[in-house]
Amino acid sequence: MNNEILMQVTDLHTVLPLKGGNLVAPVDGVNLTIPRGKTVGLVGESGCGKSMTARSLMRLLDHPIRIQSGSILYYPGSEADLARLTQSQTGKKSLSRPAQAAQAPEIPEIPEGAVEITALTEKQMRSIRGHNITMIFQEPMTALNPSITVGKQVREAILLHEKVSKKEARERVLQSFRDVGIPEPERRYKSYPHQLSGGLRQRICIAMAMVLHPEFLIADEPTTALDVTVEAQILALMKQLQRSREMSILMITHNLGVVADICDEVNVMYAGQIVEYADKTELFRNARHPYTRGLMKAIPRVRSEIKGDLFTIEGTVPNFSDMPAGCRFCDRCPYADEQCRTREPQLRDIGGGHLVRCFREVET
Amino acid sequence: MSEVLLQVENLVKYFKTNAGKVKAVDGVSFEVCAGETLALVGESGCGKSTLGRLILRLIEPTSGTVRLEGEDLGKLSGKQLRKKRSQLQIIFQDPFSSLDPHFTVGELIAEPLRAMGMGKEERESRVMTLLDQVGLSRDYYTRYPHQFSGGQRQRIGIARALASSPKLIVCDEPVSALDVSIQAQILNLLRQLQKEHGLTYLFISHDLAVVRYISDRICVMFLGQLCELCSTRDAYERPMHPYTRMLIDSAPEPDPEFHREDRLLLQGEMPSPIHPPAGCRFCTRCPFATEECRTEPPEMKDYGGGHLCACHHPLLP
Repeated sequence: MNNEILMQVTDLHTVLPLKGGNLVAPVDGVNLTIPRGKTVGLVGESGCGKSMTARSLMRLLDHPIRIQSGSILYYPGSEADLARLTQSQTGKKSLSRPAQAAQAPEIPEIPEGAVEITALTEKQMRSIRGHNITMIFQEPMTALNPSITVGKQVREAILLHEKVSKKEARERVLQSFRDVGIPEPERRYKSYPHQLSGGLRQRICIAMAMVLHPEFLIADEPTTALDVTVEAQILALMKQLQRSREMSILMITHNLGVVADICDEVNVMYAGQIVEYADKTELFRNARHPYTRGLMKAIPRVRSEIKGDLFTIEGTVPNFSDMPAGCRFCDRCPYADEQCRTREPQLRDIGGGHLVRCFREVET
Repeated sequence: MSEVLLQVENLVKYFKTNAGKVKAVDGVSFEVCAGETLALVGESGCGKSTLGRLILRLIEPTSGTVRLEGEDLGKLSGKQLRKKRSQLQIIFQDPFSSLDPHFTVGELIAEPLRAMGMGKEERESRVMTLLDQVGLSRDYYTRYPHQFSGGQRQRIGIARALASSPKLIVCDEPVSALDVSIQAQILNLLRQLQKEHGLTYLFISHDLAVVRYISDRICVMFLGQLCELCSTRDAYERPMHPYTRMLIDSAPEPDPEFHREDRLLLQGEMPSPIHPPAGCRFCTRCPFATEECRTEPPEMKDYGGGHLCACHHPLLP
């Protein structure tokens, strides 16, 4: 077991084939490190590829979207899980759909204690999802089955992964309801999703995600559909669960307020690439990419008055099939020069692990 | 204070459902002055969008009156109402479902003008001016909405609302569906248009940061009733109603060094709008509620300087 890192994503490319044989890459060379027991933010606007990145980690991609290349190394926390998942990796290669993904020949040797997610069989993936790695979504209504009571849905997660009696599973469901602060768990067990408020539904989804004590939670905009008052409750709950269970969280959001509240480290994503990475305090104090700075200046604030116009980022996000040749942000960037329009900047360390993908960060 | 443009008096709207009467809007009164932006804030289900639609008379109230420049909209006949409606417009939240995909941008924006009986040539030149005003290219005239991004579509919706030169525009969550960078562009545009045309906005939103930026005064709504009505600055710096304070305290702050020890957070669930609590509607979630709150509904009281609050135990500065 690796004591520091839970997941290491290297040069991930997730592609969508278009009619006529062209490919676009909504995730274009993403590197991500998920440390054990920390909350990592992945921030960006709609269409930047943040949700697609998350789904790639769980290998929950809808055909024909697929992982074209790159490595997703997962370091399971328990020896038993590692043994279960590495059995076939050394032996025969899996032949199911994701194996096409793994056809990239340059995948280096898998380090000790790690599992290569892109090379697992679908069956192995199913044994990971919900058990080791789990996910919650933006819209708790569509994430739940409307025709089954919420108790049964959460119970199903247990019965799928463990050999326990229904009665015992029910007890554990009720306990998980109590853990996430659902009032009257016995009564709620028998409720259908439509009978619950948005906040309660999201708590059910969290209970379902947490019931098997996973070590990694991927949260895709979990509070975006909720009212601010409920959002504050759900964020407080996530923080408390993370602390008590020493879990890692990947928090996908467009809301910098949520990032400031819950994350330890932040990745900013733009047009399929990570453009800036730093720990939270550093990022908010000293953002260096013009896009990150623009986002921070463009938001109106609850706790201070802004006079005059809001700062705006001109233009719109470029289309994936028509990316600028150089820096992907150059058409919207007030600092862009000739170099930015012709050469593609790489992520580089500007000190203390703060990474920026920009030629002109010094001037911002 | 400038003159009153819109007067809402004791407005009530009940919806009949199988489970009983949903008291969506239950006795709401306020005034909007010409040229100001009045924000209507509250959580989902508090009745703020219903209130917006009642004001436009898109739905009929159960009781109560809405007056525009002193004229009771409820008493107007169909023909008179249609004429009056050119002065009342709305911008919707979702720029995808609010534009008919079969119409070109030009036709969409000209629709209200045609309804007013404006001739073809005059319409065309007016639409061109409107496209300029909202920052869209004149070439878009013959294009269809699906060719545009969310921000551009919202500009089309704004141009359509402006077409009939209205006095009051109800903005129903106009930036909630947009990305941060686009949201700022649209908010700036709304402010600029207000200055240029002397518009009055009723701005419905759940986003407290947006509301602080755009509005002059704020109405806070809870479960169909108003709980506080005051200047924007008072609401954020000296809130009197515990609910207002909790709404503001709940909003996440994009600053990791922000910590507030005395942050008040809301607990519990929203009560049912079919069987609201007997006294103050907020009493089941209020940390300061007393016996009086549970039995006696609080009256809206004026605390001076146009600061109104309906609470038995207001937070005093």
